[in-house]
Amino acid sequence: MKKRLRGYVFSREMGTNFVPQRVQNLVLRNYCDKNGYQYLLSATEYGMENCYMILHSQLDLLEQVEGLVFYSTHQLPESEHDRKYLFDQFLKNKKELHFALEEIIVLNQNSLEMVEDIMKIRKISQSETQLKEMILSEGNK
Amino acid sequence: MDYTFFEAHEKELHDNFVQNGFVTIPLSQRSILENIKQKIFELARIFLELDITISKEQFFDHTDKYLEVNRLNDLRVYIIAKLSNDESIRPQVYQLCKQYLHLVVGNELCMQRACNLSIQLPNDQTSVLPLHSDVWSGNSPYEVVFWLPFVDCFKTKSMFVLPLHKSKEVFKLFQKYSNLKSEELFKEIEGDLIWPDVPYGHAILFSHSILHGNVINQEATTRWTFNVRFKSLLSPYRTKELGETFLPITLRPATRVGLNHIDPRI
Repeated sequence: MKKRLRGYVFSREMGTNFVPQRVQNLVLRNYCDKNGYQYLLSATEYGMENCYMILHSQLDLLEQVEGLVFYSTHQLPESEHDRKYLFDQFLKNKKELHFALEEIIVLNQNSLEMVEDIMKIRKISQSETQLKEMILSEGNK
Repeated sequence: MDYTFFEAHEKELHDNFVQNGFVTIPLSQRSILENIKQKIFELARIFLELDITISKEQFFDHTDKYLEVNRLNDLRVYIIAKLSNDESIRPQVYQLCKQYLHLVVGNELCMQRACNLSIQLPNDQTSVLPLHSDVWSGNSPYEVVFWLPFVDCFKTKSMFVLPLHKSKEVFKLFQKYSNLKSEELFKEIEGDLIWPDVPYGHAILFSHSILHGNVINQEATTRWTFNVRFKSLLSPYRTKELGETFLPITLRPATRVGLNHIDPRI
């Protein structure tokens, strides 16, 4: 029997990008088809900044599925504490957390560390524009 | 730039890269190269149901005898997909160019998720990659491409590059060129292009900010090449992001400590 993955999409920007829900769902469907998972209709997070009500509701329903498939790691909570809580729920319940865009699966501590590295490096990596602005403003002092 | 921290051979390579935007490098770990080539051959043999008597060298040089142009892309995609599932490939490719990557880029790196494969049959018009700079379409100028041939590459069987100092001249005058098609721009700069000779056992590291591309392979034998991007982990990204396009490969412990540092709070 195919593993059942519930989709999880955003109705707000992810980082600096806005991806239409239709596109997010197409990517999830394609990811599940390609990898032999059963795709279950997506839960859509609310549009309010930092709101994860729908995700938290899905945590209560984990027993019905083998895991969740996010469109991207950009949907993960900004706060490391909140991410840890989320990952703990999945690992504790032996459920899978998939990220379709990055094709990363969090199954264990190793894969979790990879996602955490990516999240933290993204946070400290300045964009090229930010970097140039910073250098210019230093030069003008 | 103060070079006092670099040794003479490093300085020479740096100057060469900064001036030209590319370097041709020898690959010391020949057995790794042979191993990857063998894997590609075995996958192609399965896909094309090749006769067991066909040798690897015969196949790579004269692929056009065993493959119709209309199946070329299917073969390419099949091999890329199979190699993407082989977790030993990316570390092996990294090992091949590690020494020079560390000199040109640094030792804390991220690597593109998959290695791309190009196959150019003689006189095939469908595999031409016109003059371009990857940075124009969203790649970060901090990335480098490792271009790895599995056969001898020369003349039209190689790629062409416009050295960095010449590419910069085009960028400065871009308004003049902006209405041209790629082919017309190619004609304008053709005299300044370099077509590196890259014998098997060598490779190119280049900044894909420079203008580059390929033309129809007019030589008698087929071109087989890998290309994969590397980047300093903490240098600026553009639209090809960490996670989606790149994955960290050599995160250093001091950076990990830094990433996990929490200032004490009162």
